[in-house]
Amino acid sequence: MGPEMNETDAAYRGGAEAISAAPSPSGWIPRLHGTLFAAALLAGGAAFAQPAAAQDAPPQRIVSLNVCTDQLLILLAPREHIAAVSYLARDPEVSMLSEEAADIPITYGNAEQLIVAKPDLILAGAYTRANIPLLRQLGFNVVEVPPATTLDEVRDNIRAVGEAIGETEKAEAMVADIEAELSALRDGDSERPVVAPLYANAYTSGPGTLVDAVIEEAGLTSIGKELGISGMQKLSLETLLMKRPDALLLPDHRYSGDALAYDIFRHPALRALKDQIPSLDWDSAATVCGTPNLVQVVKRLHAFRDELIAAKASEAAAP
Amino acid sequence: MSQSVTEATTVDREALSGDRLYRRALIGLIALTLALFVLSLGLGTATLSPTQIMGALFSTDDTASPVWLIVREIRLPRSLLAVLVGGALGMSGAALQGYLRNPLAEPGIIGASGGAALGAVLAFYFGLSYAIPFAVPFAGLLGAAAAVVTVYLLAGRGSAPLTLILAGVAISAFTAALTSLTLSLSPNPFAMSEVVFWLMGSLADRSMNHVYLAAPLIILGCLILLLLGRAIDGLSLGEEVATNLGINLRRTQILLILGIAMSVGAATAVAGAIGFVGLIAPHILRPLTDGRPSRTLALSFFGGASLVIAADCLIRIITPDRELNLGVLTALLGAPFFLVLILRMRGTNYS
Repeated sequence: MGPEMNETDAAYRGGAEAISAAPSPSGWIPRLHGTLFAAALLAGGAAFAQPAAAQDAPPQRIVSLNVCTDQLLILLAPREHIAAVSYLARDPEVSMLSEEAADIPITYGNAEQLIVAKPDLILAGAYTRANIPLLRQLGFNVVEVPPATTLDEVRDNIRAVGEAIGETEKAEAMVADIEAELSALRDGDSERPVVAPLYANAYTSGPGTLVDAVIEEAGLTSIGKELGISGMQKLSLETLLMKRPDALLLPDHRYSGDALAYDIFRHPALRALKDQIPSLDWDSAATVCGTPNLVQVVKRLHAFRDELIAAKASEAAAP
Repeated sequence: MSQSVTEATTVDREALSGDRLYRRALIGLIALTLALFVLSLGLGTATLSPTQIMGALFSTDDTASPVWLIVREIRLPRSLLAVLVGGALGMSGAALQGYLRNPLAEPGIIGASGGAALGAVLAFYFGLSYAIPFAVPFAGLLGAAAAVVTVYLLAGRGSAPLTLILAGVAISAFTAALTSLTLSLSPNPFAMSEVVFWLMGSLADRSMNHVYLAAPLIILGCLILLLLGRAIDGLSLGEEVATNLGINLRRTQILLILGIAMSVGAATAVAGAIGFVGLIAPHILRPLTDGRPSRTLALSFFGGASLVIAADCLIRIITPDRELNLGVLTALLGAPFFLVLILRMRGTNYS
């Protein structure tokens, strides 16, 4: 079991980085067949696991292994049905509900922990360290929720989690709330200022990311879309200067301890650009997962867009 | 050669041709460095015309212009650092090889770069770069000095190349491990992926701030190394001869360690550890020195500078989107060179 644990540990760190720094899906390491060895070893342990929950009774001991399903679970399920959430749920850099997660047990998602916890439902995401096929072989009921990259997928995921945990009505109400708030914001969106979201290591998020979907929904266009960048990609400082977006979106907080990744925010060329165009400090953790909190982000960006358009108009009016 | 020429004039003429060769080589290398410097200013993701670049280079501050910002705040610091870092490594390699009379001595191999990286990493990730202005390059200096002194104590001057390499490998491995350990203990999750920068080096996204931090120490360090020219020439004839020539060995030793620590320490603090430059440059240029090791110093500065700036240009040409680390290219060039060197040395008995 020892070497297997190390391997999953390494895979997990890759996955965790993919969530927090979110550069690309390359952080995800495909499971190796070597784990079949562990599966064979643990086959006897299958008896410990509860059989899949019966259709009528909602799951009573739910474990979530992904920071996004963690948050949907906390929002939708009664507290007493949550057995554990992932440790990332407590990390304020990626989780919007880190305070709520403070008194919920956490899991690092390894098979040993799960066998002891005996969950009757496991919620997992794409960047989950746990070996999903192994968990299924052990008899666990695993529901995989893919990461949302559009607002439609956010709604689908809320419904999927609601259905899995037996809270369909609550999930539908949540989806309806989101829909109502978002439709109130839509106003034709004739003018779409270009914004450049910039993260550590000079990454930006283009079409195909949840951030881009949120920017679009707020009546803005991302610089990634303008440049034909898809997904999370490095944005060269030279390209940014030449393209000159209408505004910058910069992260409003950082991990403790310094890193070269932050050198980009100290670069004199970026500082000069920041002095010339408006910038918004925003909480990039709010766009890591498709939770109802996205509505607040869209609202804030929409208000920022209105400011940008107003500033442009007054600039044009001035002689 | 005419037969009527006396022996004395032949010697004079040979010395003269040696001088001329050296002077020409030096001028040639300076010209090469300048040409590569100009080429480096022209490379980047934004397409700028030569007139735009020259205009921005010689115009007054104009932060509203993206072209000015790109040329003066992105490409100029990168090119300046390539010259300074390459020069520091090249000259340090020449000084070490001359002083230790060991063809394998090099800041990367003897662990000076690794020690400097460790020092810089400790200062940077503990947040000292905010607290004390020159903390990071100074910590690099201390790290490099500690590594050089340790290797020196382990292997000593004039020892077999193998002993020096073994000591260097040990120090390099140890400092690399401590660098990785420091980075993985950092509370910042980005730190771990930055091991590559510190162990392989890069000049991507460097700014004028880095130039201001590193340039004074690198220039001072190189000037100190230049002072060692006479001592290195003397030492090439053996320690006794050098002492008879009035060379103070203790002073030489202190100046060498100080010069290496300042130049390599500051260079590594802003660009990471870049290997092989200090090994290749003196070796390629040695035939142009007419047997005077002191001449490799200045030649290797510009040789190293050309090498690093050429490697940095190649990086931007090969992979403009996803920049390779500098150490990848210098190792690609350096490793085969190193192998040839070892094959040649196999026939020589150093005991």
